[in-house]
Amino acid sequence: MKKKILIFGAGAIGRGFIAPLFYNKKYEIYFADIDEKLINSLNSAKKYLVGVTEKNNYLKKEIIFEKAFNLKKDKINFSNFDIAFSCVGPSNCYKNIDYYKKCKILISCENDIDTVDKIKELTSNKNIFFGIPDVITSNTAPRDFLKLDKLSLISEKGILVVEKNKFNFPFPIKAVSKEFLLKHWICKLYIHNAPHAVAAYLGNLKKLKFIHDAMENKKINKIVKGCINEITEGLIITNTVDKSFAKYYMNKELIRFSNKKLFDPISRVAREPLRKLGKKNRLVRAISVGMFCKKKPINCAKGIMAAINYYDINDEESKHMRLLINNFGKRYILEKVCGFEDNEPLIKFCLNQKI
Amino acid sequence: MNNNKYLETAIKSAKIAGEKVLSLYKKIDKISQKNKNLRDIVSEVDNICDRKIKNLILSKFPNHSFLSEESGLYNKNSNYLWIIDPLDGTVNYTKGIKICSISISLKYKNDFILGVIYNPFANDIYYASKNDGAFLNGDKILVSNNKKLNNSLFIAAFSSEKKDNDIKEYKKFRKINTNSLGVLRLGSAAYSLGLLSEGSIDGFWAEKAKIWDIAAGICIVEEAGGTVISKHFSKNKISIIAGNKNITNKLNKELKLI
Repeated sequence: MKKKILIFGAGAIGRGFIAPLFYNKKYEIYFADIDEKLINSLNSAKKYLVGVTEKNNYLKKEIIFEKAFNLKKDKINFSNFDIAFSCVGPSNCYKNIDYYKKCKILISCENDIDTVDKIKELTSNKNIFFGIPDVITSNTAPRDFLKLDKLSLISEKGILVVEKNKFNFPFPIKAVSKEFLLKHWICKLYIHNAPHAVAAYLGNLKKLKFIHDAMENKKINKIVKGCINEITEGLIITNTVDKSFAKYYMNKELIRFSNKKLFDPISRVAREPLRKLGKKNRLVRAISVGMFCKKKPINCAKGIMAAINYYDINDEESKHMRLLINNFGKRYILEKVCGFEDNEPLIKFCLNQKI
Repeated sequence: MNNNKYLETAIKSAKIAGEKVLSLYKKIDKISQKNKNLRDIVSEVDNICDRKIKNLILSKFPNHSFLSEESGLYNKNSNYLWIIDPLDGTVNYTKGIKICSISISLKYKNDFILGVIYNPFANDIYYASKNDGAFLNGDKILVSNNKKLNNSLFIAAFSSEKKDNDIKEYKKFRKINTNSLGVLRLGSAAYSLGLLSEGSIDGFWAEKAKIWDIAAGICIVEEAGGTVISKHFSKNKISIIAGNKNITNKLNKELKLI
């Protein structure tokens, strides 16, 4: 009998990355989302195209699935599914708590390890595990793809690293020990998330559309490379991650950010700037580890200032940030959002950076 | 953010008033009694902040009406009414206790459509506009989801009016205080409603409070997912109970206030 996979969130990660991992491997794929327009389009097509980036081209994969559920309207028996994946974003995943309670196994692919404990606490469901989609996916695609299929997306080949549990994951999903998962997560959090966001915020200031456009800009490229170096060196010096793994991860990320085939939208990577500037989030963590490297972490500081300057009319958080800056100044964001203490030298250090 | 232009002005006004509150902290001796009630005092800071806020708001929206604790009603027969307490917690402030706030709200017809509560000492700003959610320093906030009275923490605001029958109020206070994690009295109803909106406390009640003390808080609590039930006594006097839906109903059952 085919195993049933339920994916919460039919966006870039859920549709573009998780579903293809289970496709053609004796699984039935289902989606659950709240976007009615998307659900209707998916259900009338019952398939969509994923362009997996290769060296100079895309490998076209047609993904056929069973059904897309409307979480607001459909009655879903969640216990019918062998495993479920949460790919709705860390701010939205708690809205699905009532559904997650009933899942046999849930993998949180929410780019935030804290979501696992919080979901466990809120659901009393012990079978919640963390998953790291080590991939960049785009919720859009180049024109020739969209001409073929409006639902198409682009993804890297990528890997999914999950904490071992009773579900037997197919290749190439890596089911690993908690310790190895943590090492991977630290690298993802510091060496991927932070410089990726920095590239997006700097790209936004130059009014660019995709991450690879930002990486083509010499000044931005220099800052992003500087930032990733500061972070990686800090992680090595503090023995947080061993040198070879950290260096492997850093080089992998630099190639990834410059991948012209990915069409990774700056607006998606940069969204929710107040969350990303939070004291426990990527940018502040990055500068705190960067403080341990031999040189001052000026590039991490530039990244923070680029994030503070971020504005997108479609991003509610950026509007709130602008409202606060207009009235209280940028220092306020550094104190109240980033959590730097009043008069901490880091505040002056960040404010002095020219971007 | 539907009411962005109003919110921007309200936050700016709160910030300007906050700067005055900070710069004049412990520098003002002049306080006066507003009426017979011992706790109803006004300091020079209240008046300075009131002028600052009023000038800024009316310069932006000259056709709006304006009601303030200190300067009363400026009536332009507008559907928009700004309701201000330039310094809620004057007693605390004059005693050097940093629990006070600037409270600014905007009422459109019968709806509180905007609320801003600013504690300049903590540099914390709570704000909300109708249908856009409630925020503390830009972070979305929600009321607590505690359902039981016995593991809840409350704040009560007593009326500053001198009453002969206040024994009833103290009885209610005692009853809830004994059967919960406790009932605090902070001396700033507005700030208390801010704390309620971020889930730090679970419930709040005020008997015959002044509308300017709680108007901003009503909008913020509701936008933070809370429930506010109220009873008007006169134009500017109101009793309220606030918290999540469960707590509000349970509190009202115990207090029989509304």
